[in-house]
Amino acid sequence: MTTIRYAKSAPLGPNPMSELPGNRNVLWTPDREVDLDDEDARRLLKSGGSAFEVVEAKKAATPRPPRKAAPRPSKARKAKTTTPPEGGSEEVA
Amino acid sequence: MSTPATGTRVAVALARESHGWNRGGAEPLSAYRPNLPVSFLLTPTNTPGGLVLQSQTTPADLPGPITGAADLTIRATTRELLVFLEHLFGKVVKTTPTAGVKQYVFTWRPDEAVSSFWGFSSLPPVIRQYFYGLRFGKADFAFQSGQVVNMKLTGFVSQGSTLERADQETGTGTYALGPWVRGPLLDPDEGGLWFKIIVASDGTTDSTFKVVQSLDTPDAGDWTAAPTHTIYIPSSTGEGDWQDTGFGIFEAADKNLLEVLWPGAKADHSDLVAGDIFKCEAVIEDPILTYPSSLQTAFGLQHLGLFRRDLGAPDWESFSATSSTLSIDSPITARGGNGTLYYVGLDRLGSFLPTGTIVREFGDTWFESRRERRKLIELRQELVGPQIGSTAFRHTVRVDWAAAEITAQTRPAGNAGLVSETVTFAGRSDDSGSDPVTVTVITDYGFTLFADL
Repeated sequence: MTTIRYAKSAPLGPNPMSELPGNRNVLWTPDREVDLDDEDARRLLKSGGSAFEVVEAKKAATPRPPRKAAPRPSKARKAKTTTPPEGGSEEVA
Repeated sequence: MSTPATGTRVAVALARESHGWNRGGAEPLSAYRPNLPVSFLLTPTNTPGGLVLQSQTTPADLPGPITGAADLTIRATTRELLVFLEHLFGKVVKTTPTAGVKQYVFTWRPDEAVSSFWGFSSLPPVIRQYFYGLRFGKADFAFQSGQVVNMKLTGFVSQGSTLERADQETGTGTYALGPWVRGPLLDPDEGGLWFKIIVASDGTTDSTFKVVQSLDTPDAGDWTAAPTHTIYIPSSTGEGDWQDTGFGIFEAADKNLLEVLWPGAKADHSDLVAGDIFKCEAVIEDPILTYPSSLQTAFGLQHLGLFRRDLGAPDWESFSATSSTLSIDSPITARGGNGTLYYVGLDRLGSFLPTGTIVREFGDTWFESRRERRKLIELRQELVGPQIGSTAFRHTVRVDWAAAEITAQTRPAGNAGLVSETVTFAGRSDDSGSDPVTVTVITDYGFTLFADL
């Protein structure tokens, strides 16, 4: 879970609404804090930019959740040695 | 079997470009619930070669300009109107009549805020795209008491991309301005683009980077094989500009580059650290969209008031009408360039032409006589919505026509019912270029002016 706060300066204005998956909509007022799934929080921050800030990433050691795999046709590609992902250091303070 | 796109899931989100024309920005995306139809996708056109072969067959067309008509109709509340009125008019004067109430007055000075939009549009689950350099040239409103006011915006999109925006995958750099990408990826099945910083600026020197297309994390061999690019900073601006990555379309009859932009000057690029890796997925995921107002908190502007007087007369006279329209026309001219099929310029070159109509029961000859005598008149269209908190103010949009000319007037007796008079008028100026029309918006929303982004 990640706690997201709607910024006090309210760059989107009073009472904007975020449309979360599964009809879980959030009506924001300045300084309102809401717990979101890590994946939802990441996607909200991506489009919401400066309107939102991370208050607290619970279980902060959890690495970045895997992105939704986009359906792609399987295509033969050269074999390569996979380097381990260097995730886990991108959490915002 | 794939799922086809439906109109119910169409999404449009916009934000003003604070990094400059066609360069995106940092403002949060605001999503809008469009009234259908809506059009926001870049579409290539064909230009017939004009040849007729002796075999009496026709050769293939040349690839024509990639045009992006942007048509968007949204419910106009005072919150939603502001950003678009600023975009069309340019000049905004903001005052605070009382605590919690803001007043914005818009006059046409297009050079004062040359704003443009970037954003996201999708026809899920089939197509999602980011676009840049959107300008609207026209806004149409239909006013009627007791009905929601919709605003129809018409314009053009300049550039777009079906790549996801960049995420920083690894590295300790704090550069957050980009990178941004635009253009078509030649082969999306080969994976997304990975950008690696090779040399970071010390604040005065150039930065270099490499680009690799890969389905999974590139290995050392991939990076070694990739050519090194220097972040392009034209000396004329001192700010990063679009440059080719080599992953676009560059075939015999076509040329549409996939470009990357590292916004900011060399000092901003010093936030990069050698080894930072940014990744753009080849497929855009659905963002979580935030709407600037909710249906529960923002009602329409349902009360229409109309006022008229002769030019310079002291007193307004209220009159009733069944409906009224306003059209703000500040035309955009699309400009093609060399080296790309996308528009390189959308210029606000045309004349400012505000027009309107009034439809009312034909009860007096006030408009008819003014038209016959070719007298200029003053008009006011006023839309009033909910009260703002416990103040004496209400959400209001007021359109003041300092000088309007009646350009057409009809009053046909169409049937046995009431005779309806339709008055068409246009804003007029004088030798000094005085403002034909001024729009005042009273709202509770603290709007950030384009100049302050």
